[in-house]
Amino acid sequence: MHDFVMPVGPQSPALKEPMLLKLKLEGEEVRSVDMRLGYTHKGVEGLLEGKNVDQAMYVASRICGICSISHERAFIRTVEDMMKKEVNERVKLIRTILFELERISSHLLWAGFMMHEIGFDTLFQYLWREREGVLDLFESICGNRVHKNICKIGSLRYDIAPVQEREVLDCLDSMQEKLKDYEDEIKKNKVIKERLKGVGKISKKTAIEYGLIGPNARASGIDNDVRRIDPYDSYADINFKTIVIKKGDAMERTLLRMREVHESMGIIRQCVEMLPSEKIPKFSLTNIKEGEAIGRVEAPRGELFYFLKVEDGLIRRAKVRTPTFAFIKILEKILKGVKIGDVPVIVASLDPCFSCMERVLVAKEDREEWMTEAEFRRKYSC
Amino acid sequence: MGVLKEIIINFFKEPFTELHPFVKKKPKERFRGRILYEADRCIGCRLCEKYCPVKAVDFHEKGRIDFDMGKCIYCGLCRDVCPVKCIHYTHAFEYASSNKEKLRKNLV
Ligand code: SF4
Ligand code: SF4
Repeated sequence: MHDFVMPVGPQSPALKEPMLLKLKLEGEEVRSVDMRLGYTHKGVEGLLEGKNVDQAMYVASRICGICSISHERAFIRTVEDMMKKEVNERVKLIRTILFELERISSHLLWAGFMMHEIGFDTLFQYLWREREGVLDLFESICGNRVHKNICKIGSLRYDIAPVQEREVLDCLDSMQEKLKDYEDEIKKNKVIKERLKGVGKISKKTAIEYGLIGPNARASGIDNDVRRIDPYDSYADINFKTIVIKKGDAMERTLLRMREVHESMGIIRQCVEMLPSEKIPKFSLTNIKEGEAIGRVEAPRGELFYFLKVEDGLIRRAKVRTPTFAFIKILEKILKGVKIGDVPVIVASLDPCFSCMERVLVAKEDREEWMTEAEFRRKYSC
Repeated sequence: MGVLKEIIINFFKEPFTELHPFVKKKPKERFRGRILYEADRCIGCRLCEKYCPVKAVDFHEKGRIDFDMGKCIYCGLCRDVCPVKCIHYTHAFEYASSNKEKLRKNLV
């Protein structure tokens, strides 16, 4: 039997983003996988350098369209840490509300894609219709549907008006019932079960070896949630469960995310109830001369990490580690031995976001290479 | 059963999609659309130019500034830093053009 190399991608192998998988096949079975990334490298870290923190926040939030508040939030957490700045209770709660709304929107988007991937387009449309309500909320609260840009360092651009509180609760109420129905459908539908059950299994040991984070790790039995282990905003004062499931196949990953949506709804309801009547502080420009700090938040896909170094009021070095960057390598392991038809489902089931993970990483096993920063920039044009 | 119920309900519903170009969609109040610049109130402090993260603000002289909407990322920083608040957002969002000059010309 001879080997056959089949390229999947770079145009949209699973989600609508570019990545090339070179699959070595024997019959229908995948023998080995070679990944090629780098089609959407934007050099954002380079863009951040030389800007002051107020400007850079907006550029950082554009790293990802789906989790733009997460990026903003991680950036702000880093800067506020650097300045040792405390924000008031209302700001914290509103940030939590928006953050969780974003998680809902991201999980529904992904669940829709997952259904689309296995050919269940009816459910895909329904899930996206529910997501539309959340996007409308964003437009009403933040001004934009995608790049919300509502956070400011130490404050917020807009407050939530009482009418909008009502809108948020109404939207959640109308969604809740339907999402329960859809979740049941996923659990019971025979086609979905056939396509997802037992596919792309990740054991706890593999998950730890490959450094899985976020919902994927939680579906494999690892209790990993930055909201709990390193609380920020109001998460320390709020009751919520971190959902952990043991099985770690594509089905569990789907159901886990659907359950997380319900958990997020609970968090938002608590936050709205707790909103105090104080005012949010007025926006003022950040005055920061020097400092170095790290910050992390639990983005919808897992831990999002920022490192910033500020010199003379300008950012000298920025490092961003997005969730996908941490777990994409596991594809090489779990795609081995599966049928070719399952490949898109497995890739999609990890919820990767390629355009925000494209970072330059140079790792050479065979020889060491020493370069100055200028040489490095020239060579890798960043 | 859930999905089947949805399908039946949806047979008797109005379409969910909007007939946008025929029935104009009104953006929400906080929507950030094309920038409106009040030239006569500007004091020429150049803060907007300094703070724009993508260098979309072209400062020629006091009272004559071009906001390049082809570059603008609608972050709102220029509006926030302006000391006399003479930069505003309108609700205009249909101004896509293949002519870059048109995007640079200001709404005044
Ligand atoms: S909104 Fe932001 S990007 Fe646009 S001109 Fe103002 S500062 Fe520049
Ligand atoms: S910040 Fe305002 S006042 Fe200053 S130059 Fe810009 S538009 Fe004019």
